[in-house]
Amino acid sequence: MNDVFNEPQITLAYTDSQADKGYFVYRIFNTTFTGTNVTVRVFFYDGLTGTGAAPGYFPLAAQWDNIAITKAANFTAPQASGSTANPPSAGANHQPDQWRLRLRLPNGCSRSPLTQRSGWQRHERSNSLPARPKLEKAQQVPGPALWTNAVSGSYVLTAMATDNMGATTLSAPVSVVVVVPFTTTDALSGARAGHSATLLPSGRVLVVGGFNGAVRLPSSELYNPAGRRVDGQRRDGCRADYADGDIVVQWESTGHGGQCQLRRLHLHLRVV
Amino acid sequence: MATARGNHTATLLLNRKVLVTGGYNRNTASAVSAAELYDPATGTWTSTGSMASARLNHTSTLLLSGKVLVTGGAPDNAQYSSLSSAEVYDPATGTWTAIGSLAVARQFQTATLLPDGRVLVAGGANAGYFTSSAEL
Repeated sequence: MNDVFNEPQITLAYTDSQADKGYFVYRIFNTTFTGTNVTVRVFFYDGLTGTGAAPGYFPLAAQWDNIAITKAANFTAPQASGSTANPPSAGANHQPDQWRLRLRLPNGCSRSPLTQRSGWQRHERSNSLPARPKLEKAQQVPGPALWTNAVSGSYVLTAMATDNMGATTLSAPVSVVVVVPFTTTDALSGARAGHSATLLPSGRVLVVGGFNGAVRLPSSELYNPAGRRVDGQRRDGCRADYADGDIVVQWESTGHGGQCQLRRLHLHLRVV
Repeated sequence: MATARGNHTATLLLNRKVLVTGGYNRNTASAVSAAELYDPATGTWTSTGSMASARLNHTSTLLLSGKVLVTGGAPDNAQYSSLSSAEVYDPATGTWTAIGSLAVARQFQTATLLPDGRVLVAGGANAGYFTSSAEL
């Protein structure tokens, strides 16, 4: 039940309790990623359709991966995919003129970073499945919501639509796996492996020692992730001191040159 | 532990247990994908979900969310090749989720949690090539 590859799967159970929400909506629910931002698209449709005798509406969305909730009085079982639609000329009194997305975290905590009220646009339903009925009336579709600074992990998204009469309907939960790619930042001053990296109270990272393929390194550096730069380097000898805010960092190693090995690392609170 | 291993990682979780991941098992001459939890309160080890990739010389970093990020490492003890893959362990479910890969495959790198929740992955080596590159 998926018309977009890798689109989150939805399983809906059509019951009277779900149908008794005031109107039905139809949606396409997918996500795209740009950097650390996730764009969530939920398309709601207010079209009703049926197979003949009014008010024999059925949710056209019920045929595919979408949401469809209709008036309890008008609700009938979903039709088979590819059935002939016959949208009613008058439509319903309820119109989805607002929508809201809520992000529900796996632990059950709730927050609403995906709140948006948007003007509606004319939209022609996608004909990605030619066998499906094309709506004969223009549909109103909200714009996408942007979820910024997403963190990799598994989430459950739900969509809520509110119509002009205050009726609301909540989508089935959709599981979304967010994969935020790593981004390359400025390099260290030199290649090293098997080194140490210690976060300092200032937010900078003290990188010490390691091996560059030829020699064990007597060098260290202070890396600033915020500025994406190296703030300080020590290449000469096997002892270094850094002043990093109220912290004095001292590290000392044994021997010199290719024989260097870290002997001790001190973090001292500097009394001003 | 149920699996003998070296070159593994051990990370203290928020629930006071210690997550041990990956490593190299000399008995089988292979990298380990299995992970185990040590409970200091009871002194017992329990198995938990295995990583998608067996790896050694990797990093394991506790995230602000309480999950654990594992990056890179080597798929075997030959040390000729490194991994770019990364996975996240969820202590609540005991499962691993593959996340975006590193731009540069690496082992013997560091992965440092920054105050804003990002992780700085710096340095390391791959196929005899030592890198100064860093990723967030």
